[in-house]
Amino acid sequence: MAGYALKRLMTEYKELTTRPPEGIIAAPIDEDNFFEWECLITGPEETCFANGVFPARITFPQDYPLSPPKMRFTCGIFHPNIYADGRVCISILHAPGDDPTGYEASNERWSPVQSIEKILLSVVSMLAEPNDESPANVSAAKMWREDRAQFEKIADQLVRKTLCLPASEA
Amino acid sequence: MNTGNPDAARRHNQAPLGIVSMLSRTPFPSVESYLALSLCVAVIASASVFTTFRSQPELQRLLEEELRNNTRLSSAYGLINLEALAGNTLFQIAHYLLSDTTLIWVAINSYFAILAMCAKLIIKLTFKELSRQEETVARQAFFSYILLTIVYLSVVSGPQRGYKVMPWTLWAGICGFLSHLQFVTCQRLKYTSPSCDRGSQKVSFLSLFLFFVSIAMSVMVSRVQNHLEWHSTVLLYFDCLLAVFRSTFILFRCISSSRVFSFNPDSVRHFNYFLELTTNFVCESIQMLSYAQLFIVSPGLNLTSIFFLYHMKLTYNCMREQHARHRTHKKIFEHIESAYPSVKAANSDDRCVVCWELLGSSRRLPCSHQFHDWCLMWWLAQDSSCPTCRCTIPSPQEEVRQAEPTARVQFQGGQVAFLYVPSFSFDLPASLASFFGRAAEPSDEQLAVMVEQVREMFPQMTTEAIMGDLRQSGSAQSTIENILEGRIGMNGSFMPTLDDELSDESENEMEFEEPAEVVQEPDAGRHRTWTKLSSSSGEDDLSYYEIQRAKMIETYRRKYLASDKAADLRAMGITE
Repeated sequence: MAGYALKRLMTEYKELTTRPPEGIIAAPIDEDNFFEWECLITGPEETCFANGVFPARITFPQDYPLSPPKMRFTCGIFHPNIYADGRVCISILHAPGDDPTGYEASNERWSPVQSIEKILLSVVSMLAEPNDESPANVSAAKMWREDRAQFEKIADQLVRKTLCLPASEA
Repeated sequence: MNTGNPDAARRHNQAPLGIVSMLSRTPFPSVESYLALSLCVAVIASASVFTTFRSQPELQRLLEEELRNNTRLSSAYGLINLEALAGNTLFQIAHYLLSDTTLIWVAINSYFAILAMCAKLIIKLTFKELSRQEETVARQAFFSYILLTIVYLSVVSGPQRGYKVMPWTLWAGICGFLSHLQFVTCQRLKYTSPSCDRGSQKVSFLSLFLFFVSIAMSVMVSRVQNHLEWHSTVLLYFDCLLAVFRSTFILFRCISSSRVFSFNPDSVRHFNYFLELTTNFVCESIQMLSYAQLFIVSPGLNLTSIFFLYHMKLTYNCMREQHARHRTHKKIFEHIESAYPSVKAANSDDRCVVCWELLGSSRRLPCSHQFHDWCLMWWLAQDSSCPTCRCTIPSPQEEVRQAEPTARVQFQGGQVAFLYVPSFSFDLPASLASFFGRAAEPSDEQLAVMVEQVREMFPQMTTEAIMGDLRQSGSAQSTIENILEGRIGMNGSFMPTLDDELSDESENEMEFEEPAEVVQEPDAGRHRTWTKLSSSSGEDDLSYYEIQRAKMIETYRRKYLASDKAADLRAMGITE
């Protein structure tokens, strides 16, 4: 398609800088390439990820917003819906056509109505409420279900790491 | 396809990066290495010429004599000119170069190197950095051009090699230079939106430059055509036509994406769509004709003629696929026009949710959501629900889905048949082709062939990933497109270097967060972090992102330290 991806991404960037949502920063890594973004999201309050500042990268396809972007965390986050290499597995980031897990209804998938801000907000709520029915990281899902204390300890270590604080001794 | 497949992810994590990644990381043969090599060769050659001239003064006299007695030159330039020229040292050197085959090739190579350098410079000046994807695609296009050129040269030069091939090499060089620039520009224009003025001025300059160069090429050909055989002239004209059409396309694209037309985005989209369609059709027909011409010229039925037949077939497939796609789009568009009323936006500042631009006149779906014609068209081409509320909307999708497989299978049938009986399937009539591909699903054998084709291009992809996509797409071509556009295999198997870089950079990003060290010396670690943070927020040349990041980390650090979880840290004396 004759893309309007660039224009839309520029509009979204303008929107994000003029009215920044609480606890979210997103910007293109290089202003000459609007298809690679860097973002920071903060862990939702009253969860084990609270106050953590997690960096991630978003890569946009050239037919954005018809196809969803891809997002990956670059801080080694341990979470049931995030692959070990950081890729985020969340239904709104899946193209309408494909269903890797077989769990999602098509109305939860990507649509051009979504935006960077909405994606990041969804990811924040995913951090708060992992969906362990279709885990991307099986060991994380298992730990989340069976050993919540250990899971929270790992999350807390990461939060401290992202805040440049010393790790707890225990 | 398998972005969410945990198995694939695990496989990737276990798989050592190995040779494939090493090869893809080695940018060989890169332009830089080629330029360096050419420079060395040119320097050595000119040094040797220089020493020869120095050491043998009688050579100069000999050359002068030779030039005077050269009948061909004297007939071309007249005697008076020649007398003056023969005395000129530069002319003598040129004559000396032309008398030695090795030196001629060195000169031609330097010419290529200069063209390559110019192309690289122009691209750098106009587009700054190309993205990795653009680079990959451009590289592939360039290498296939080189392969084609080699075969092309072997045909046009005929059985007698040597002097005859040299002008053709020069011509191929300038054509390659032009088509590479055009390709890169087309790629870039394809994905930039109308009325987006980032660097568009530079692109306009480039488009004008390309246009003038292609016109100049045509003028040059028309000048020399009397000295050439008819088939060479035809080939040259095909090349010129191709260059002119592409340049015109780029020029029109630049004009249509200027701000002047931004008040009416939908008609610009309309214009661009048809402009692209026509240009593609025209260029592919020209290419087809030129392959046909080469096929006729190539001596006898040998490997080269099969090669050209194969390329004709590829071009034909391209055209067919494009036609099928256009038919689908047309059908959807007609459906949109007939089924959904065109309405004005209720509020003047309502925006289309797809492109985020002002709605103006738009189409209203039964669920009362409104979109631009083209935004709706592109979305309906891949989905049959309203983007906003996801309610299923009656669309021509069902018809399209029924129509599409037959068109595709025809193409596969042709291709598979072609692999076995090359010359036969080329002029296979459409009815016969459809007979060949009557089966709705590609058979396992066909799939295996297609997997091989895809793997030839992307050896690093896993067979299962390719197979999975082929089952859905039904054609090797669309799977290759899917891979190139990152719809499959982005779980690291394609572009491993990207992944590595990402993780490398993320390490850099977190460079001041070394927990191991901090555990040993908490105070030192804390101090270091603070200086870093405060210095980064104080500087002016930092980007918006970096400043915001520093602020954010600072805020959340305070919050964390105030929370219950940080009891041990407070006990250690870290309170801020």
